[in-house]
Amino acid sequence: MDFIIQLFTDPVGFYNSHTLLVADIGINSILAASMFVVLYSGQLSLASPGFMAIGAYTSVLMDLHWHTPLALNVAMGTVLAGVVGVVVGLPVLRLRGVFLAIATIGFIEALRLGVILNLPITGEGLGLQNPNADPLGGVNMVLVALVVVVFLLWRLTKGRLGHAWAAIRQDELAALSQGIDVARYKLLAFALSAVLAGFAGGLEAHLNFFVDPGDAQYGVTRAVQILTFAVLGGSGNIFGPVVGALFLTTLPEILRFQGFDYRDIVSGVILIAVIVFRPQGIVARGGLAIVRPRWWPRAQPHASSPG
Amino acid sequence: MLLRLDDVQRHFGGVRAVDGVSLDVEKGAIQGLIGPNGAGKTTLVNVITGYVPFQSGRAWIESDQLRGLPAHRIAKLGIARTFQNIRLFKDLSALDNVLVGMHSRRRDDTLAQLGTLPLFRRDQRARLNEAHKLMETAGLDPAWVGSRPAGTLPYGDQRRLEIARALALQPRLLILDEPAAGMNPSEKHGMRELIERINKDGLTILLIDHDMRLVMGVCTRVAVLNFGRKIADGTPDEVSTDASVIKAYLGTGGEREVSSAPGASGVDEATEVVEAAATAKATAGPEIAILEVHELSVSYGAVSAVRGASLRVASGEVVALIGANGAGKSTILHALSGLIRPDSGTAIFDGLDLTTAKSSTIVRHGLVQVPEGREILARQTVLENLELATWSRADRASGGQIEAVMKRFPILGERRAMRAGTLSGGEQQMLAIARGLLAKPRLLLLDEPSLGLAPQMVDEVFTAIEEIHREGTTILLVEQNALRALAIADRAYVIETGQILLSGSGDDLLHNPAVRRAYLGG
Amino acid sequence: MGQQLLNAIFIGSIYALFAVGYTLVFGILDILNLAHSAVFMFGAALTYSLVVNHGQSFWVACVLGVAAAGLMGLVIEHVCLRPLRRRRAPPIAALISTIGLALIIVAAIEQGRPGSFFAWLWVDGANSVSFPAGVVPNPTWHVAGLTLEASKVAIIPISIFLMLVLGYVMRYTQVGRGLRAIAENPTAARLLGLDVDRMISLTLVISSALGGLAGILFGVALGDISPYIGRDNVEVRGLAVIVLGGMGSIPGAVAGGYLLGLIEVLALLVLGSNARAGVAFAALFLMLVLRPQGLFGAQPREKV
Repeated sequence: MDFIIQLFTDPVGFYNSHTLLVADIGINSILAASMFVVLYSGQLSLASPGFMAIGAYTSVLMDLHWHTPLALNVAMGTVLAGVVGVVVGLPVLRLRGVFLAIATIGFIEALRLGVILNLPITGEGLGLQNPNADPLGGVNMVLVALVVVVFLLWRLTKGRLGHAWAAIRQDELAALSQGIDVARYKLLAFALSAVLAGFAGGLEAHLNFFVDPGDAQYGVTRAVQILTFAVLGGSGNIFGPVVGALFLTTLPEILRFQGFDYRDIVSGVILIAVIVFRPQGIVARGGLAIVRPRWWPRAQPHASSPG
Repeated sequence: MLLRLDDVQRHFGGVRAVDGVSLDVEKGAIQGLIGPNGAGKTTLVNVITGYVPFQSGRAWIESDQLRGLPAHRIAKLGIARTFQNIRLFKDLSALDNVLVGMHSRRRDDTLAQLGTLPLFRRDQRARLNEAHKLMETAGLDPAWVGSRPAGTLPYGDQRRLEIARALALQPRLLILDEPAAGMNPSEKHGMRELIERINKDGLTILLIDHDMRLVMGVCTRVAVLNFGRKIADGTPDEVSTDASVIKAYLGTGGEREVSSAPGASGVDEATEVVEAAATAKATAGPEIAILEVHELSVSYGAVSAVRGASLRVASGEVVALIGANGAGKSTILHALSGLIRPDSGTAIFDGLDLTTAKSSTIVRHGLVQVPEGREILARQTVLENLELATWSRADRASGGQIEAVMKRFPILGERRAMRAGTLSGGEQQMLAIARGLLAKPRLLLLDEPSLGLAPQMVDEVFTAIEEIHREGTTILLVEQNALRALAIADRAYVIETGQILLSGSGDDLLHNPAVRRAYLGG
Repeated sequence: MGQQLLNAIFIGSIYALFAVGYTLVFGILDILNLAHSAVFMFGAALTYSLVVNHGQSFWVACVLGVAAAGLMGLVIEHVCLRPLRRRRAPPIAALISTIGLALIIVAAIEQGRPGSFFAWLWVDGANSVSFPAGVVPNPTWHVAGLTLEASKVAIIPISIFLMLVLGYVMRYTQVGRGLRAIAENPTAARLLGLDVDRMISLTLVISSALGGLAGILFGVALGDISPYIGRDNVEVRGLAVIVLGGMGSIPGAVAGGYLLGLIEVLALLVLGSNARAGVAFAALFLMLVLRPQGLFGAQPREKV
């Protein structure tokens, strides 16, 4: 509990003593942002961990083999993730709802189990050693990146693009009838989400001495974790998933009991409770939730407008 | 010529949905497109607007070719449409719906978003003004409905909003797919005024609807489709007297509707009905009722759909509940069948408390509903549909009963092995009624049996209903088609915006001047 | 090679049995029950625990294990599904709530250690265990150079028998017709007087019992029981199977199960053991892109 108190009374001290946690929050928030983009356009994509992996491995491998500067490495990882995002996003455009979710799960597991675990260059199952990682120094970078990302997405959703996405999420066919090129905008959202995830992956890799191809890093478990951020926070605006990430990343710290890790149980309970009782998430005000909630301002039926 | 269609064809599997249709629409015209359900009207529209690919034939809007273009490109070419089942962006505000409609005319402002805020704000103000104007053109008050989620608007306003959104495209051609479906005559009158108004500003309109008074009254030309082919094309007078059209579609009831004069202004009618409620002598209702509903209030999702409704039905009666779409009629029936729980009030059916009982118990007790839209099991055969209906009965004396029902509705006997989904609308309605009868109802609820049916089929359905009544079944009939409903009802209730305003004998209400003007078109 | 093929058939049977439960729920409720793989694991873990920690005979433990799995189906219905149905939530919501329950079930087993809250359920924590030798009757035969273990061979007739029974019920009994009616149009089913809630509970119980049984068979035949066997073996593969076979189709789940087993073995032989899983998921992805309705499923078309 004193943990939380410190966060509010002595943020600088908190930052210094919990740097790794802050880094985690930052990374998870960017991942939450990547989830936000696809959800906002009505696509239930669980592909982020796959793009993370692309960003991470690209960045670290470039460092190990070519010794190029960090910025370039992460940038390359991000760009490559974006390119793969387009390649994967195109064929899945016409998949809806659950089918899209399954396809993206197929993608990330095929990537992880089929490609990463079998390419000698990635170290296969043993992962990659990353001696140039900078767990403490990298945090500032992450936070700055987060602020920029959040600002960009916030403005984006207020503009023409955001409105188009909102329309697509509501009803693709109706959006078409208004001249919105649904396919293009969906692909754009998918690719942007991939870019953000790749970026987060590259950053995260820089913060760790070891790139681990396990399920908890780049598999379904990670995808579910990121989804949980968006469900808890709500995906009606960019702040929702970020708040969700903040909350769920700090939760395990708050819940330290002796030896027992109730983290997953709590996550599970939260997921069920939120989706049943407040499906629009904790931040949203009944706006564009994944699930339309029952709590709407109660409207009285009026006579139709005259004329 | 604004729109030219040349031998357009489209099949689905073995069905020729559009079988070589050609049509010319002049600029500034209001072109009607009518025909029975399944005639291919909506499919034709879907082909023209790019939702379904052409299989053969061509189409042009002025000099632009339409074939092969995706839907959003066709929209950008200036063809706007509304949908048969309203497709608004339900969670977005009404204003946002219209603003989204302007999407294709907006410049991409991604960069402006990130930097020059003032520029963006100025553009936004201009857009807001235009959106307000569009809403007003469609007869909506932006201050009143602008910020409310589109899904919570009253039904009539939702239709208008869809039109406002379509107008935001600044189209050359506006296609309206059943814009007046579910409206009472005063609302339809308002819709007609709206159509005439936007047409006067130079907009060419293609109108699909089943209401002959509306279509013949407002259109400059009318084309008739049947089984995917055009069987008539001319002025309203020519078409409404064409023998083949009457045979295929209009039936005899249609003529009656076409010849009556349009009603008075909408505002006055609504007020009159309310005033009549104060002065009319409500019939006390039967002493011994098998159904007693008292002060029932139901919310459907977000909207309070029914408030304080009370009604009674006695054994052997036909009671009608009339009102426009969105007035709350179906909601009451859903509550009676246990599909939705009311917020307050009571409903007792022969000793059973309907507000707490499970829907399966209610059916077993003898309260059976034939729902709006039929809700048959399309993928199963007619026979399987009927067999399932005997599920709930304590006495599974099915075999003979099914034969008996098939004798009453011979068409079902003929088609017993066919998938229910392949039946026409009218045949499906017969199936739904037959299914309801097989559950041995003591009270049969009929929800909008004439909805979406061609006038000729409506004749057949109401004949069947009268037969069933004569054989002793008690019926509670919910209908928008007030004329038909009141003609066969012993007693009736009038419901408007969630409240029951009037009740009386069928005859009384049929001759009540306010009701006549509001619901019967004079 | 022959042995590998045999293994493909065994594992294919398990996939098929598991997938049938998956597809049953999807076909009737339009819901992807992602707690199904947790129930798979739960069946195996509980059975093991009953034998090793509570001294039950193997057969009794099996029966109890399947029953418990079926009960878990009731839990899924009452905790994850019914509250959402009451609130008219879309199917995606159920996807999320079942994910939540899966997390809880797996964590409960994972945290089962001597002295912990869950010790009555499981005491081996995150470890992988197998049934002690001699507990499970497992005669072995050697025929034509192949080794046939009874525990593996038995999977085939059991699975096929259950799948046939289920198919028969769905097609020819009143219950099955009712379930198909609910699958197609829940409103019509209600108005016909069907007790939809009870039938949905029944669906979940059957589905979960099958899933639990598949888990037990897996644990017995492959000698691997841990909190992660669901996640590692069938969670994503189950999706691959129902996608390949057609979501909502029981024959599809069966065909898909064996098809996947075959694909994996072929990948093993051609590309080496590492590519096995990757190929399976690549197949999943391709099928969705090229033919989303799978082999036997129906293509849903949105009506304009």
